[in-house]
Amino acid sequence: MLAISFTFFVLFFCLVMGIKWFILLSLMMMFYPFFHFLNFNLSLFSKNLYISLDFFSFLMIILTFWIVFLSILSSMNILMSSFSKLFLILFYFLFFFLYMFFSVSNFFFFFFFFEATLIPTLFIIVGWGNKVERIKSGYYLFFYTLFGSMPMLMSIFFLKEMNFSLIFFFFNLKSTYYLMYMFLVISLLIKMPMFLVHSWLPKAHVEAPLSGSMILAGVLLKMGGYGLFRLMNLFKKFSNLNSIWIYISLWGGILSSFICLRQVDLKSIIAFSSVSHMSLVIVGILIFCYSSLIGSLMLMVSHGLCSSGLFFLANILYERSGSRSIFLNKGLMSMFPSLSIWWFIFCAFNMACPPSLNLISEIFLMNGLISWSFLFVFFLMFISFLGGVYNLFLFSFCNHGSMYSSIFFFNSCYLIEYFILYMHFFPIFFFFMKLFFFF
Amino acid sequence: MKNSFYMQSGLFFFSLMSSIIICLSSNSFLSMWMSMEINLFSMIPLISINQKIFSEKSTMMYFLIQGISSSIIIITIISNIKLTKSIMLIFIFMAIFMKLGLSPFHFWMISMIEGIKWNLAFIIMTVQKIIPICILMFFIHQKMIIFMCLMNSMIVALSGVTMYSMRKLMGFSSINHLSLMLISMILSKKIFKMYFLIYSLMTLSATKSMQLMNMNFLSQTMTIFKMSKINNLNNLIIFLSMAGIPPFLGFMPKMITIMLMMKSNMIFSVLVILLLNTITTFLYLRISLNNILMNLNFKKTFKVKKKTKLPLYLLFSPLYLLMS
Repeated sequence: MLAISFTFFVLFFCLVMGIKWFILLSLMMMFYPFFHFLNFNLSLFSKNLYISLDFFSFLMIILTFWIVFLSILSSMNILMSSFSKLFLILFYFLFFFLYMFFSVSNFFFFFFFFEATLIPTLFIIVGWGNKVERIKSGYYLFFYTLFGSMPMLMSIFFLKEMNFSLIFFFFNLKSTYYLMYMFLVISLLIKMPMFLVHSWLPKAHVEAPLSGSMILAGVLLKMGGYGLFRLMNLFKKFSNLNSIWIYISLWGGILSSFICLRQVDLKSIIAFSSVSHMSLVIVGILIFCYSSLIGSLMLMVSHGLCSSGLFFLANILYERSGSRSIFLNKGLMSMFPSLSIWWFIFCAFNMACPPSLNLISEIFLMNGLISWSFLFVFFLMFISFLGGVYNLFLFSFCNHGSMYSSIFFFNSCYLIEYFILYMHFFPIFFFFMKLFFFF
Repeated sequence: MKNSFYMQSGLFFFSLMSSIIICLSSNSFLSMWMSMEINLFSMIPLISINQKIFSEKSTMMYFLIQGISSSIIIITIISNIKLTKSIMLIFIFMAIFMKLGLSPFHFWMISMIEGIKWNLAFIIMTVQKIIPICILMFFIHQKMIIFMCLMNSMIVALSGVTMYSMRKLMGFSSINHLSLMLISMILSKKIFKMYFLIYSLMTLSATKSMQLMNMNFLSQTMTIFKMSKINNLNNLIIFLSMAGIPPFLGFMPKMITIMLMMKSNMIFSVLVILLLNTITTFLYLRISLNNILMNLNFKKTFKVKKKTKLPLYLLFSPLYLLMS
C-alpha cells in the first residue's frame, strides 16, 4: 500500500514539477526498491533481512563508489555529447545494482543484481564503443554471462527447496549434489573470468569506451570473487572439485601472462593481465585458507584500482594519438615526462612492487597457497615473474624508443587527468599503512 | 461505407469477447466447443475486413486449421470414451496444440500472422489462446505437455533466430512464452494467470508500438525505431522485457515458473528450458540491438506526430511485485 502511494506520489510530483521522463525513470528505479527495503521503520539501523555488510562487502562497496566516481569524471567527452543524460542514467543504474549486489543477504537478490548489472554494461559497451566490432563483443559479454548464470537460477531454487531459506548464512548443500555445485560455481567463474572462459573479457575491453572498461576491470570482475566468498560455506564441501578450478586457474594465470606478451593492443594487454591476476584471486578463495582469503580481498581492491588506472593511462594515449597499438604509441617519455612517471608507477604497482597494496596481497596469497601445496611454488614463481615481464614490456614499449614519425602534434595532458591518476594511485599506496582494514 | 465496417468490426469483436466468456463459464464440453466455433466465426470477419494481399490467404488458413482442430475436439468428446486414460487424449492434445499454434503444428500461425494487421496479431497471440488453454486445463497429463513445451522452446531457439520479418519474430516469441506458460499452468493456475497477464501486457505494448511506427521487417529497426530518444528507450525496454532478463518485468513470471518447476523436482526440464531460453534471448537482442547502438539517425525536419509514452509498468522490476 505504501509502495503504491509512493509511486503515485512520484508520478504526481514529476507531473507537477514538469520533470522530464529520464529523471522520472531514474527516480523510479533508484528510490523505489529502497523504499521497499527500508519499509519505513527503524529496522534498517538495527538488523534486517535484506541488507548485511561485512568487511568484504564493505570494501567492495567503497571500491564501487570510488571507481564509479572516477569513471564518470574521466568520460568528459561523452558527458559533453548529446546522449550524456542517458549515459549518466545508465551509470547510476549500474552503480545502484552494484551497490545492492554487494550488500544484499538474500541469494535470489544476489542473483538478480548479478544479472541486472549486465544490462547497463551492455548498453555502455555497445552504445558508446568506437568500432563496429562492439556489437560482436557485446554479444560475447551478454551470452557468456547469461549461459553461466541461467543454470545458477536453477540451483538457487534448488537451494531454496533444500534449506527453506535463501539467506546466505543459513545455507547448506550436501556434498553429493555435484550438479548444483557446478551450476553455482560456473557462473561466478565466468564472471571472474577463469582462464578457459575468459574470452569475452579482452573483446569487451577492447571495444568498450573508457568508462566502460574502467568499471568493468574495476568492479564488475570483482563480482565473481565476491560471489565465491559469499558461497564459501557451500563450496568448501566440494574440495575435490574445487581443485579443478584451482589447477585450471593457476595454469591459466601463466598462460594468460604469456598471451599478454603477444598482444599489440594496449587495452588488450591490460585485459589479459587482469585475467592473470583474477586467476590468483580464484585460487586464493577456493583453497579456504584465511590468509589467502585476505590476500584475495586485497588483490581485488588493489587490482581494481590499478587496472582501472592503467586503462585510463591507455586512453590518454588513445585520445592523443588515435591508436592503441603499442607500435605507434612509442617514445612518449620525450613528450610527456610527467605522464611517464605515472605509467611507471602503475606498471610497477601492477607487477606488485614494494610500496603497493598489490605486494602485500601477493605475499598473503603466496603464504596461503604454498601452505596448501608446496608444488604451487613453481607456478607462482612463473606468474610473479611473468607479471613483471609484461608490465615492463608495456611500460618500455610506450615510453621508450623513438617517436612514431607520422605524429605531428600532441595535446598536452589536462590537469584533471593527472588528478584522476592520483585518485587511483592514492588508495593503493596508502592502504599499505592501514592493513588491518582488511582483516 | 467505412462506418458500417467499423460497426461490423465492433460487433464481431463483441461476439469474440462473449465467446471467451461463454467458454470460461461453461460447465460442459459441448458448450465449450460451441464457444470455440463462435470464436472462430467472429474472428474470420475481423481478419478479412481490411483486405490486404495476404489477408485472404490467412483468413482461409485460419478457418481451415481452426475448423479441423475443433472438429477433432468434438469427435473426441462425443465418442464417449473415458477421456483421461485413452489414446483419444492424444487426439485432443494434438487438436488443442494445433489451435494454439504450438510446435508440431506451429507453421500455420507463423505464416498467418504475416498477412494480418498488428492489432489482430495481438489478438491471435494473446486473447485467442484463452479458450484452448481453458480446455487443456481439464486434462492434466503432465508428461506429454512438458515434453511438448520443451520441444516448443527448442523449435523457437532453432528457427526463431533466423527470421527476418517482425511479425514472424513476434509469433515465435509467443510460442516461446506459451511453452513456459503451459508448464506454469500445470503447476499452478494462479501463476499461469499472472504470466498470461504480464505476457499480454508486453505483447500489447510491443505490437502497439510497432503498429504506430509501421514496422514490418527487422531492417527497419535501424531507422523507424530510432525516431526519437524516447522511442529508442521504449522499444529497448519492451523487447528486453520480453526476453526475460532480470531487471525488467518479463523476468518475474519466468522466474516464478522456474521456482515452481524446481519445487516439483523437474530438474532436467528446467535446465533444458533455461538453456534454450538463453538462445531465444538472441532473438530479442537482435531486435533491440539497433536501439542499444544509441546513435540516432533521424532527420531533424521530420517530426513524429504521436508522442509515445514510455511503458513505465515494464520498468517496474520484479522486485516491485515480489516485495509488495
